[in-house]
Amino acid sequence: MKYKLLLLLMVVSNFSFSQNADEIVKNADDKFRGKSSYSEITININRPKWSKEMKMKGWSKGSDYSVLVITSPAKERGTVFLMREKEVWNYLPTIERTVKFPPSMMLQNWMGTDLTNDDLVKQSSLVTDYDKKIIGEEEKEGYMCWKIELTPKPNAAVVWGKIIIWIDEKEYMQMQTDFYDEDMFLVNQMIGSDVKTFDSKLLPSKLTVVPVDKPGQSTVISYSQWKFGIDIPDEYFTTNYMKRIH
Amino acid sequence: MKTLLMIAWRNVWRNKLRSSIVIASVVLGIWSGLFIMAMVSGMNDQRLSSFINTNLSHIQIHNAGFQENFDKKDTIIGSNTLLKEIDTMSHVTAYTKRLVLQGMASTAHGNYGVKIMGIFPDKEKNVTDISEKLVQGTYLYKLKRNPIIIGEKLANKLGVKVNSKVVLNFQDSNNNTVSTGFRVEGIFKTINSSFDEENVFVKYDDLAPLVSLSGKYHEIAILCDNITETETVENQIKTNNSVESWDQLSPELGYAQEAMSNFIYIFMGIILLALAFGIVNTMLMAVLERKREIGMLLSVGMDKRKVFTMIILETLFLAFIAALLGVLLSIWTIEYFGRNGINLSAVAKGLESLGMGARVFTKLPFAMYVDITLMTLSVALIAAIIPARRALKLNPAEAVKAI
Amino acid sequence: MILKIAWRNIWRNKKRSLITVASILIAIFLSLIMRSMQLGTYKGMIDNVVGSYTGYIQLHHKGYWDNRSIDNSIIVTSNLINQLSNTEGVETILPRLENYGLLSFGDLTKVISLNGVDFKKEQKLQDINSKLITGFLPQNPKDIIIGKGVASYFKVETNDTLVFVGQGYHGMLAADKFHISGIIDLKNPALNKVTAMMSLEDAQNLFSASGIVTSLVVDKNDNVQLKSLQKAISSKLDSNYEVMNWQQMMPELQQTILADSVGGLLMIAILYMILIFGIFGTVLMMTQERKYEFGVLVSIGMKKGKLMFMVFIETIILSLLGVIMGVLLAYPIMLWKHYDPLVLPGTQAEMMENFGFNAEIPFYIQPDLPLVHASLIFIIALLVSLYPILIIKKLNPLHAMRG
Repeated sequence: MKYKLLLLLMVVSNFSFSQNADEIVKNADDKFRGKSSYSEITININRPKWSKEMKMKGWSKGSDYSVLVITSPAKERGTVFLMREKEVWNYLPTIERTVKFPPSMMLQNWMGTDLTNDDLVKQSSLVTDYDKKIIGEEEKEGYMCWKIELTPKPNAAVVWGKIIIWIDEKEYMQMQTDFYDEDMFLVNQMIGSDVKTFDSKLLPSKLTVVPVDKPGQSTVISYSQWKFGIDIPDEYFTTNYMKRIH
Repeated sequence: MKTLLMIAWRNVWRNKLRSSIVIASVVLGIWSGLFIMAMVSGMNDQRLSSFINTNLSHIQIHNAGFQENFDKKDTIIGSNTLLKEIDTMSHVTAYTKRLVLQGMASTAHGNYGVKIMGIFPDKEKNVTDISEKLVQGTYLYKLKRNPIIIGEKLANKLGVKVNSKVVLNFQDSNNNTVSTGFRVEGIFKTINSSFDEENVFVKYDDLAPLVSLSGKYHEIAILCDNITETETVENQIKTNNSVESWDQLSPELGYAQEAMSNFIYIFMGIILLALAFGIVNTMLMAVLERKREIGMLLSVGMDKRKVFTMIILETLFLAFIAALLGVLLSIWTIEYFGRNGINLSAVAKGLESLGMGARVFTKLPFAMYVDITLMTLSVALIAAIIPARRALKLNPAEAVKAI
Repeated sequence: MILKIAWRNIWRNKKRSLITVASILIAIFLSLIMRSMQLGTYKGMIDNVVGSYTGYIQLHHKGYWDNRSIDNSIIVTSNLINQLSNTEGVETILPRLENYGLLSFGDLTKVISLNGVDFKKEQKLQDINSKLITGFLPQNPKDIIIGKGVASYFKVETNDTLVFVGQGYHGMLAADKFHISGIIDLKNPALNKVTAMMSLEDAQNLFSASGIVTSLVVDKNDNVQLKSLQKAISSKLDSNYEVMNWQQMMPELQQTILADSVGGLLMIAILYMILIFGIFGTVLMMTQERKYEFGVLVSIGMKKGKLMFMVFIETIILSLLGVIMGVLLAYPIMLWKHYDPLVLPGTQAEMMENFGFNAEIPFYIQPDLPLVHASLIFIIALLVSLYPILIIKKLNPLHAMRG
């Protein structure tokens, strides 16, 4: 009897615990994205033999719409990427043309970074495609974090075998994400650092993407400005507006 | 004439060494011609049937626009009536229908472009032999949801095993991108490694709803009861869709068949030439050796025409005996290597990439036996004329004196 | 002394000698012609494919061939070019910059492979001019030529404007408008669907890659062996480069040739069998004929050893004569068919050309061929001459003279 009670207790606690995990990831995602946002970003691409720096501005609305404008280097200035649902459009000011990326390009890397075009449009996957479980607590960058294991739901269209996320317990900051393949080998890491306050939210201002099997290679995304809940006209996210946005 | 026949027949057996040399060279000629032919046609057959069985089938039907850009909207028009008609056609062994999509297969280790085939495993089994080429796993019947069969080469590139997940990305009929996880149920390895790299098989029932193409098909593949019936069946199919036979689907293959047979005739020409020279030389020597004997015959009053006929008859006898032996030897070796195969793997590890196995099974149609035997016999006869004419020019007095 | 007798013996019985020489001559002649044609076919195949694009040897940045990224490229310096062009056997060096990206016209977009090349140099290697269906090779800045499959996908003609978007060197954005100056048929449906070409300078500007190429194609002259040139080039460069020959770049082609040459070797083997038999038959009959003579010589006191030696010398002289004459007879024909190649008949030629192959078969004329076959046949002739020597050894003079 005693055991049965204990067992029941464990099941219940486990249940609520896993409920929590779902909420934690959802909260972190919501926090990061906001209902709408405006940001100014610097992206550094690091390679063993060269590196490149790009600056850009971005607007987003929910998880389905976002637009990015490159402001530097000069040669690429004014180039616009529009993400609408699952599509990526590219406006090129030098030739005044808009091109939609065909599906075969979606898994290619974006602008020479360690992100794919697909990564730009597939942001909500963490929330919807995985079963989550808190597997511990760990400190990252001085913040106490929940260590959450995400395992893909059966037949979810994701390539990872599992994902481990560290989300800080107070502010729901996504501090680190490790991506594993199906044989449970670490493939990619995304590490947050330099926590700052943006628009009264605490967020890591620097995200470093590291493909583990390619030594000396990484992409660093740094936010210099980040505003949330601002009013963005819907026309910002249309192909027509791409030519005027700047 | 009867006496002449008798004399010629006796002469054949009188000098056994000479006769056996001539017989042996003709036997060798017939055998080599038949055997090489059998080897080449066996090799060609193997390549052809391997392409037909794993990939092409004898006939494929598509929407007329489909082969150009592989647009998923170009499905077969009136497929149901068409399929019913095919059902009643003679010479059709089996047929199957498929969806064919261009897409990407990805895992954590990479993305590769593939042709996704949505198939009915039960029917597909009777048309193509992928189900027999599995090196691991089973053929789309074990896993309930979204099983996939992929080639070994692709499996290695993607770093997957049986039960691993592969995400397929493709577009549905409204051009929306669909990505869906599939689980590897089987891994196949055909002798065509680029086929293994570029094709994946999933169940039609899993794929069709994802692309809103239920009840529609991109491809119908038909296997006839014999490759020679391809045209008969092709002519029976009345439709606005494009109907293509294997040699239209893969002109390279048709070309290779043609090129091989051309080359073989050039080769046969050279072999026959070599054979003719061998016989001419041997018989010439024989005439020289028989100078005395022939001189004697001439001087005792046998006329020259008879001597000529005698030598020709001798050669004829030799050639017939040789032809009989040669054909028997050929049938025996071709049968033997037709069953056991000739192992060429030591010399050519690259044969597999050509769609041929490393083992060649000899095979020869009956008509070829007749052709080549007749060809060799006529060459032997023509070759006999020169020494026979030499014999005529002998001066009887000198010939007897000779040596 | 014996040499003299042997020489006289040969001239004494001219007919017999002639027949023996002829059998050897025919052997060498036929095997040379056949092999020369076979090897010529392979060389034609190699020249065709290698000449049409790959080149014999390519120089890349290490790892480029497996991971074809524009970031895996070579910075062209005059030092590098000098080092290469000063290597013995290097004919020309062709710089190329290849990258993939999106080509777009109206609403249509397609992934293609864009090749920046030096058209003047390429013209010599692959005769692009002859592949043009309409228009001209790029002459002005921002001219582009596209494969006919690309043209039919976009439904564009010359003078239309296409947009290219892609990634350049070190992640730079690469986008520009290009004017179609011509449409080419690369004789390969797959390539026609994905290929576009422009001048090297335009490509370097587009990809922000001035002074950079992805490959340096080395065209060699006929005097130098592929492997030794490859070695010579690699030895001059450090480990940041990879030097690959066509066999490494296109293993399928090499395997095709290998597989085919196995068949070719088998045919040669069978031809040799027949030829050996021809020679053997001739020598055998010759020995029969001379038995009497041998008998007389031994019975009048000639030592068997001396007789054997004499016959041996005779064989050497006859074989040498046959071999030399055979080569002298075959070589002009090989040369003739090399410079005025065998052309395949009608439909076959058409088919070959559709696949981008030449319908001509230039014969192979490198001197290693006659050398190898001449020595082979010579050795065989000597081995065959062991037969009469053996006969002499066992000779019973009385028996022999009775005939």
